[in-house]
Amino acid sequence: MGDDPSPTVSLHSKPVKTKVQAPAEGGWRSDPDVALMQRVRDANDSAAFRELFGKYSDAVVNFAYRFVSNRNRAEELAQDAFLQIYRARSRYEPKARFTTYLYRVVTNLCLNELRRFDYQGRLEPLEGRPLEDGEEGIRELADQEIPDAEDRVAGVETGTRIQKVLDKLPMNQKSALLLSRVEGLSYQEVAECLETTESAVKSLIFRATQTLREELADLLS
Amino acid sequence: MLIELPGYVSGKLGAAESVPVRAHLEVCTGCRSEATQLERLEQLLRQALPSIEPSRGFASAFANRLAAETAAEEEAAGHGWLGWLLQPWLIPVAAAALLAAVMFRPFSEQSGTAFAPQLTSKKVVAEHKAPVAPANKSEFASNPPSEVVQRPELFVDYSVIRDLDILESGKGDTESHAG
Repeated sequence: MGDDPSPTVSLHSKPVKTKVQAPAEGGWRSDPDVALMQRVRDANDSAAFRELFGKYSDAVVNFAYRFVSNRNRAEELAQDAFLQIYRARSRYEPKARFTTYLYRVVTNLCLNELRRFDYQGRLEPLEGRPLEDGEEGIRELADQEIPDAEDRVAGVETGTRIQKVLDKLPMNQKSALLLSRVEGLSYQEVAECLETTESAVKSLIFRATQTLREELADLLS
Repeated sequence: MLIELPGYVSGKLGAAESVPVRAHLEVCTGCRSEATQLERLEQLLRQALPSIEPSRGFASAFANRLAAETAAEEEAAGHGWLGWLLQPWLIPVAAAALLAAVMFRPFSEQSGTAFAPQLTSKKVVAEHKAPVAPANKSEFASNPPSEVVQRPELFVDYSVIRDLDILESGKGDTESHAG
C-alpha cells in the first residue's frame, strides 16, 4: 500500500456495499432523497446536501472507478458530479428517484472522460500503486496474516479480470451493465440515465453478458 | 427469448414478462444451461468486482470545493446594485457601445465649431497631419485608418485633417475657376 493508507480494496468475500436501494414503493414521489434535494433547491439547505453526499459519495466514487480504473480521477469525477448537481439546484425538477438523476450526471461525466482520454491500458493495480507484475502483488498480499488470504488473492485476481473484460466493452454496454447489475437500477432507470429505451437497455445488457460469458467461460462452468 | 434471459435471471423483469421466460426454460435445455451460467455471472459481478474506499481527504476536499462554490455565489450576490456590472454578457455590449461612440464622434463634431479655431493655423495642422495622413486624402476622410479607430485620441487629429481636406478641395475649385 505504500505511504497512502487511506484507499482500501474490498475483496470478493466482502459484498459490494455501494449498491443503491431498490425503488421504494410509490416511485420517486416517496423518495426521501428527492425531498432532501428539494430542500437544497428551495432553502439552500446545505445540511441536506451534505446528507446526500454522505449517503451516495462512496457509491459514486466506486461507479466512476469502474469506468476510469483510477482512484484519484474517480474521486474527482464524483466531486464534479455533486458540484454539478449543487450548481444546478435551482433548476432541479424531480422526475425520477434522486439516484437516477445522480447516476445520469455521473454517467455523463464518466463517458465524457473516457471520450477525452484513452484509458486503455491504464488500469490501476487494485492495491493502489504500480506493480511490475501481478505476482509481486499477490505475494505481498499472501504474506499478510489474513486467515482467508488465499481466497482474498483469488478474489483480487477474479475482480481484476472481470474489470479488464468490462473495460473492453463498448461504453454504452458497460454503462448499462454497471448501472443495472452493480448499482441496482431498474431497466427503466437505466434507460433514463442513458437517455434511451428499455428495449435498448435489454439489448445492451444482453450483448454485454454474451461477451462476459465468452471471456469468463472458465469461471462460469 | 434469449434477450430476456439476463433480466429474468437478475430479477429485473416484471411478473408479466417473466411468465413466458419461465415457461420456455421448462422445455429448453440449452436456455436452462445458459441461465445457469448467467446466474454465476450475476454473482461474480455483485461480489468479485473491486470496490474502493475513498481516500481520507476525499470528504474534506469536497467540503472545501463546496465552500468555495458557496462563497463565490455569495460574493456575486453581495455586489448589490453594482453586481450587474460584473455580468459577463456586459463585456461585448460595453465594447460595442465604446466602438459606436468612437465611430460617431467625428460626425457629431463636424457640424459644430469646436475645432474651427485650430484651422486658422495651418502649421499646427500640418504637424498633426504628418504622422497619420495617407497618400489619398479623400480615401482617408471616408475610411479612417485602423490606428485611428483603435486609438480614439487620434480622432482629434483626424477631424482636423478631414476639415483641412474639405478646405483644400474648395480652394482648388476657386483656383480652377480663376484660371
